[in-house]
Amino acid sequence: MRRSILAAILGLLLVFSLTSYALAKDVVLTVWESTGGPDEFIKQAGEAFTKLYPNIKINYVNVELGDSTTQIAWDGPAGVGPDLFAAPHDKLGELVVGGHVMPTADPEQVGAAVLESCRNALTYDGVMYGYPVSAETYALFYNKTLISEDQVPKTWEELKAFCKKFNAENPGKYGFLMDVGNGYYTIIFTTSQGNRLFGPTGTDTTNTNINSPDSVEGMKFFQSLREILDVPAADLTTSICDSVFQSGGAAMYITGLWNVANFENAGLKFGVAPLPSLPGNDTPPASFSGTRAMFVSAYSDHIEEAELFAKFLVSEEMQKLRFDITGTLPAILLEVESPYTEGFLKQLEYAFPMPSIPQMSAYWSAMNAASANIWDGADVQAELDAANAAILQ
Amino acid sequence: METSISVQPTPADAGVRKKVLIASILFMGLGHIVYLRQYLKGVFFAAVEAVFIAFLPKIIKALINLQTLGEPKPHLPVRLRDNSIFMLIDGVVVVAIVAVLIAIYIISVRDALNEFSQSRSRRVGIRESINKAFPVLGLAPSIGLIAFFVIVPLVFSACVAFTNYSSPSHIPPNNTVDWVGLDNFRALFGGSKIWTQALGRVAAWTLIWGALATVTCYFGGMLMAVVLRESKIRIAPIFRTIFILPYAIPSVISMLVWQNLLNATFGTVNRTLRAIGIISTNIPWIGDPTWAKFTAVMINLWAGFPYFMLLITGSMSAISQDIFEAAEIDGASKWQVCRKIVLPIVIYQTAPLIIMSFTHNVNNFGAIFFLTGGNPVVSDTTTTNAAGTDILVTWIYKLTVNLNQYHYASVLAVMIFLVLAPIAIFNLRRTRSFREGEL
Amino acid sequence: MRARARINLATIIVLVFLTIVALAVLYPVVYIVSAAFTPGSSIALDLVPFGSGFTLEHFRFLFKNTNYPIWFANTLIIAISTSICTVVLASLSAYVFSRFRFTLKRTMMMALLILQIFPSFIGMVAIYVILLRIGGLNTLWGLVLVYVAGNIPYNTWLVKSYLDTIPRSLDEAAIIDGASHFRVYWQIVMPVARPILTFLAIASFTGPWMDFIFPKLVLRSADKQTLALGLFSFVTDKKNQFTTFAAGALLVAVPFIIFFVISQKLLIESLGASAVKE
Repeated sequence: MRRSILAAILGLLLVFSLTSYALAKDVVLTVWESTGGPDEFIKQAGEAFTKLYPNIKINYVNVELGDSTTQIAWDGPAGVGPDLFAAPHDKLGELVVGGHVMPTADPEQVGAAVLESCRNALTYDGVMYGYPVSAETYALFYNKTLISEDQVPKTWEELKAFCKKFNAENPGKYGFLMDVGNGYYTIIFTTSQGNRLFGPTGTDTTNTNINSPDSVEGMKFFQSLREILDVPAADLTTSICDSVFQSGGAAMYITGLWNVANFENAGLKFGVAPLPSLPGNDTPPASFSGTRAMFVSAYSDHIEEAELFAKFLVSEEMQKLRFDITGTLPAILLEVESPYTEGFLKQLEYAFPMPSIPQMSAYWSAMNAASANIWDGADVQAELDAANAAILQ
Repeated sequence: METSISVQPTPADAGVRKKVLIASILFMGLGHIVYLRQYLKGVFFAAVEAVFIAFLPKIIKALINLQTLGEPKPHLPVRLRDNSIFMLIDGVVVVAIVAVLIAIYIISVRDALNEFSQSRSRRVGIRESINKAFPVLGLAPSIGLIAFFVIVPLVFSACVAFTNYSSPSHIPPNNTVDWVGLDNFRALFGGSKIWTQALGRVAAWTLIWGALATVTCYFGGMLMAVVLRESKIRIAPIFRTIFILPYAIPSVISMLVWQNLLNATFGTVNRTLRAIGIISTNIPWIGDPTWAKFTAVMINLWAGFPYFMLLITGSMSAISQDIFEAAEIDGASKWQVCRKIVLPIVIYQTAPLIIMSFTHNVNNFGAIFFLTGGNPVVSDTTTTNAAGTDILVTWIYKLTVNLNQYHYASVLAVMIFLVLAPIAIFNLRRTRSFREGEL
Repeated sequence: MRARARINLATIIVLVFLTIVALAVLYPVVYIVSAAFTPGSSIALDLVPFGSGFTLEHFRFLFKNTNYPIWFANTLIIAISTSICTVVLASLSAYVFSRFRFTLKRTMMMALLILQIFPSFIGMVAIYVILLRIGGLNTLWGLVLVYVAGNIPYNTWLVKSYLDTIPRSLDEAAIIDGASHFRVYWQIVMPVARPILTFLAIASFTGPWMDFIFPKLVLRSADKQTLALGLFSFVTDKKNQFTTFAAGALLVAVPFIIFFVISQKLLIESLGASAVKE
């Protein structure tokens, strides 16, 4: 019911805008997005949009998600930038401090139409920027031929016990896999008892909380997982882990929605469950949730048209289209048919958005290195203290 | 070549000469037009100066901006604010243009004096003018390109080392960048013990890596060249073809594949070695810092020996047959011929290339980055972003891209240059080709 | 008449040695080739290459669903242009350095070499702005300018060393006959320098094919992308389509390999010429 009201409001707004812009001249909007699905989406959405606004055409240019933030800093002032570009929400701080993005047009209306986590993720200093197009987090994938649904552990201790048995019975296979040198995943071990990176709202620039007692506890547990996955950190690269799980070499693996299509194509029978909870906690740990958003460039010559297209991308139709093409979770409340979304949505309830303050960019290299060192046996407190210092410097 | 016929100047000549000199200095080309009747050259030079004067206001503005690097103007929308880095670059470009102008000015004055003493104002045709200007015209495009695409970026990069251009609070156009003098150098070299240690570690490995990579590839290539040339095996050309493959395949692809093959737990190298029974525990090819260094050198050898193999093979073929015949007549064995004649000649010929190869390897980003990513991670990586096999260039890259600490990255670049340039210059001057000839 | 092959111990040892080296060289090549033909998206972890099957789907994907032909064409244009311009400019400046005396010559030659040493990524921003100012951003010729400028220092020096070994008498005879400098350069000296010029043409042709950093800096629109940009998009942003990447790179490597093999002899002569002659 709520959805249809919102849809009606959006529809009315579209009609209103349609009449206002009926006499506008030809405009070409340049949009930056990655390949591998999002590009198809932009092209198709562009065609649909041009049907509504014949004077506005969409020109897709391939700039990968990870590159758009650094590239806008140059292309924007140089005058060769896009009108709209995709960026992950954790770059929001950098983008706002750099002055590259416009605030969201009609933030109350757009904010009400999208998921709460997305809305929060795109708010910086109380102002909302950008238009979310998909939400993502990671969860526990399990190989149904190696572990049945009721065996899937709800706590990490259960996971450890399962793996000890599994590894003994299945030499050459792994009960559990994880990209251990990656701060994107290892953050979950620092979130015991509500401990959050940069504080509960992710905006505390004086404290990372990475080296707080709860965090250290959790990371010590992470270090103990080495017993059931005795592989050095350098060897557990993302691509290797993906390959091993995909070829049926592991029972469980922590990864995200982007891999669903790959695993399906490989013929794997798998399921998705929320992450197991840390010792001393009842609920799944807080994983990073990410919102992929389209931002209107502050250097654009066609800001109003760009905002129009951006809002169009958030509409129900376009979100459904995006899900059909890419398989990633929509940013709005939408019923999607997929056997896996339930697990992700459950995990999303406990996830917290990656902080988007500018200090966040230093987090990755520091935490990646600290996680790898801890996994290989370094002193947890010392490593986390060093990471804290590196991030805040 | 031109021979200059100099006419002994008479006192009257000296007076006119002074006038030509003053005229040429006053305005480019004036001397040519008024005194030497060389209108073509004169007009050309005058036109250059005229264009320069037309742009003078812009040039002065750019130089001022270079000094101040813009002011914050928060009331303006982002698009219209002062962009410090653009100003810095424009400033350096303008300095380059001014330098070029001064060079042309000097050329024009000297040319006027030269013409005066040589030909005493006879009219010179277009073809002859162009012919005499051939050296300048021939070099001009190259110098121009180098000035703007090599020297300007280099100077700009060195300038950044003296600014505070970095994340999070000094990224244009939202913020301005300022000159900070030697602050960055003090921070990197004195400030923090960890950073200084990391710098020492990375710098040492960079030099060792450069030497090892060069030496292994050179002598590896030489070995293969000699073996293939001296052996009587008829299918040697087939082997030579196979050995070229690493050079022909884009190195990015081969490095990424090697990275997967050498994964200690999952890679096929270890799994094959275990299956055959050669080893029982996994060798951490790229997981352990020391092993990783060894692996990097070995894989670089794989990729680099074909170049030197081809070079040395060609070099050996170019040695004239007379020497061999003379040696044979004197009764030398093949081994003696090889050691005492062929090798010295080859090394003499290729010595400068070895030095160039050393400097290339020291800056060989791809060989390390795509194979190991600089990893494995060591204890200070958490703070400094410098991992086990990082050489200075890959560390600079990480600082630039991951942490946006452009000023520190530039300081490192400047330091590398200050260390390497003297070494290269020193070694170049020592090569016989420099000392003997006209380099 | 067949020569008698003398099989003795030394020959066998050499043969074994060569075979071992050949196997070491071929080891990853086989995996690259198998990666291009393996179904799925990540590299097979099989011990045996081609163990997971054989498919042409990646090649089909490249030609149907991506702009691979455009990437290839753009890269080809860039490579040929770079090669021609480098040969012309480097040989011209090398000729001047070799045949004329002027002040600062030695300094300039030294500078040409030393300039290579400065490792700079930040300097690329300067190149970006310069291209922006002259309208060269998002153009193929802008990229060619950057490559040629980078090629000139080392190659000028290389060609000059070779030209130094060509006797001046050749030049002088032509000048006495009344030829201009340009004619001496173009019609007398360059033909004699053909081996080194061939080497230069080949070396500067191969450079731009897989370069990623400069195209990323200069090119923007879809019709200007090069191979490196297009192929690398398969392995960034959480995508792990290494097999497609391998297929694309293989298509690049194959003509290269054929070209190298055919011109092996030519290459050896050219490379031998590149070392300083006595």
